[in-house]
Amino acid sequence: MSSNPIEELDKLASGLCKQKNNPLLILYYHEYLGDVRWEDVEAIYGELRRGGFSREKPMESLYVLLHTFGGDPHAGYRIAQVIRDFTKNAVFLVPQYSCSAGTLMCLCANQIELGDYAFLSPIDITIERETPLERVELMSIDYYIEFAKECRQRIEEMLKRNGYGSSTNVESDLLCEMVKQVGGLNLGAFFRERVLTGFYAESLLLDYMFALAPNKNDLKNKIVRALLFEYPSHTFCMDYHICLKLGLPVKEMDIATSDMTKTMITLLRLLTVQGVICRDVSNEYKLPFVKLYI
Amino acid sequence: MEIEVKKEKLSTIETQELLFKKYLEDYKMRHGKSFEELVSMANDPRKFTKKGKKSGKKP
Repeated sequence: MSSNPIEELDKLASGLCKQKNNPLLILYYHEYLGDVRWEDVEAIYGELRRGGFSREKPMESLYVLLHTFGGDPHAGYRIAQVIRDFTKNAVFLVPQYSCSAGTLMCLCANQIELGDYAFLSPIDITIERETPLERVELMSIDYYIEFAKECRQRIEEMLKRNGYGSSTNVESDLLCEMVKQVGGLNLGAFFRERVLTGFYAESLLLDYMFALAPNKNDLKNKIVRALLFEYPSHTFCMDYHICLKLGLPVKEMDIATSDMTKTMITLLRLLTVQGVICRDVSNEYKLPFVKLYI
Repeated sequence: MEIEVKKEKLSTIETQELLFKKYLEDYKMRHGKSFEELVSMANDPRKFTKKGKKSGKKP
């Protein structure tokens, strides 16, 4: 690796542009203190305009290298729309991972290319409430509801087998306890947020990813259902094989591209540690690395 | 928002400097509040009710 990581990064990014014969937008977020925020929408828009592109003068195709653990789904959706305003075709490159709001952004792609051992994640939401105890994944609530239902069914079966009546309050007792712990209003807010995230995902899938597919509604329903309800947790790793089974237009990068993009992530990490990029906006927040290579 | 359209090609470092200044300005301007917080503050119903207005006038 070169002694000047920024030069090395520029060289690799320009090489990738040449190889793909199209511009490359890098969106890199710090692992711990970087998250997708609404400020990024303006930053990405500005960078694409500085590149000489606009809604009236879009690119034929754009490669987007994305590396993030996620963030605000509203911002993720708006970033996806901004990207699509500037290009007729979008290919998302994920060298290592793109989670949650990052996955939502990927849903505007015509194709997603995953590096070796790279993964996406479901787009379920987690909302932090007043206390850390109230940080709950909506999927956990779904599974708890299923658990309560199963408890009731099993007890009813047992009561029937032993010749007793088949009635038990266990399901309602368990659900009441959950509402007590999480809070009725919080539960309402969680479900409302999920409807919003699902709405965003549907829009992106129908308008971009499956715009030309004859069965786009079936594909959209299957994918949104899996991403919001079926996968077991927010941290579930959707690798190439799972993405392919789900019906996402996903492809494995060839080894050379996988190695090249992973090296770019390593350089971006190094530059972050050196304080050259992703500098501190506050003690708890680092700005993302945004750069368009043409 | 002021956007320089292809006047001069910015280097990678210059682009990050530009972003950093912009993010810092925005952060200060918004007192570090998130989008959700700003929207909820702007639309706080207490600001528009008689009770809220009266209590706002109290010293």
